[in-house]
Amino acid sequence: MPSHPDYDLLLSLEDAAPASALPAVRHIADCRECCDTLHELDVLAQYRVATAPDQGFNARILDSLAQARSAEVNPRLLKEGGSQRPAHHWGFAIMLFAACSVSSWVLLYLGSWSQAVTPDGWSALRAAAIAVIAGLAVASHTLRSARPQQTLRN
Amino acid sequence: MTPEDAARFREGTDELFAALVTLHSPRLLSVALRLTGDRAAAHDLVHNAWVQAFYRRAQFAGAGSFLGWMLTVMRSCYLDLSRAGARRRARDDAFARDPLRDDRVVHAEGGAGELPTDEGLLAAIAELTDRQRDVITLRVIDGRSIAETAEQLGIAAGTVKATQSQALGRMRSLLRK
Repeated sequence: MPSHPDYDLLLSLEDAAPASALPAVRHIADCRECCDTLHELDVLAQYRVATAPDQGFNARILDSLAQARSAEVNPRLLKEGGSQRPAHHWGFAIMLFAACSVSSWVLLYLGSWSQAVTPDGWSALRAAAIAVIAGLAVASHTLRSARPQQTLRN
Repeated sequence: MTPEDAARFREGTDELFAALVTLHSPRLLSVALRLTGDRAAAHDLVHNAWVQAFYRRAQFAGAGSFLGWMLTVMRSCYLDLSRAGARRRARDDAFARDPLRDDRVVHAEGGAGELPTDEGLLAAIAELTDRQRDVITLRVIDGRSIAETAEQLGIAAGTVKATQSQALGRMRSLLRK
């Protein structure tokens, strides 16, 4: 069975000498795989074609890029649809995490204190784990809602 | 792109971005037109692609083809557009204007035609390794010779041929899925 022509030949089939092109052309006529590959190469080669953009198009892109650059330097300056995008509130998230953790721990231990029972080590660990998880969940939600979006529109 | 230009690109230098937009927008627009079938949607797609390229500029290694990297960025933006339904509307409008262009509809629906769509080709290119994508972009899309591609990428000619073969084989298997 004749072997497939190599890709270099497929890429330059139009310019190839008849001696090498003819066998390849005959093979391609019978081989669906090579025919499809040739079509794929043709489509990709059409990406060499340039289309002139509308007037002012490049300037609009550069304006958007300047806006994006300003937003990176100072996120509070970026406005999208009239609303101001918030900056990351790391400090606030950490305070919220700490407050939730302590509150959860205190609430879990209220029962123990009211019963005048000394909590054991496992109870303390369990309470601490629940408090940390609760604090992380709240802080994570706060950060997600404060994260700036990264798509600018015309 | 030289290593110095790549560094300036990652920094987001105004002059370099202006030069890149002027140089590459016409070809990106051609590909975007093939994807969307609508001139206004194609302009929007290329516009968003440049903005995303700015935000993702740290991801550009700088060693290969900038156009190849931009094509993957644009494809990502195109997927976002598709999910928003804009592509469907543009295709419906294009089909309504030219009912004889039924090949695009057949391909998109996976009908009788097995030939790849532009969307499928760009998806396949996005699945390639960086080196494979660079070789395909330079050899096939840019039409450069093996020697020119090898010089641009700083690799041997034999490596270009082998990578080209691997890349096209990989694309073929992805498109046949």
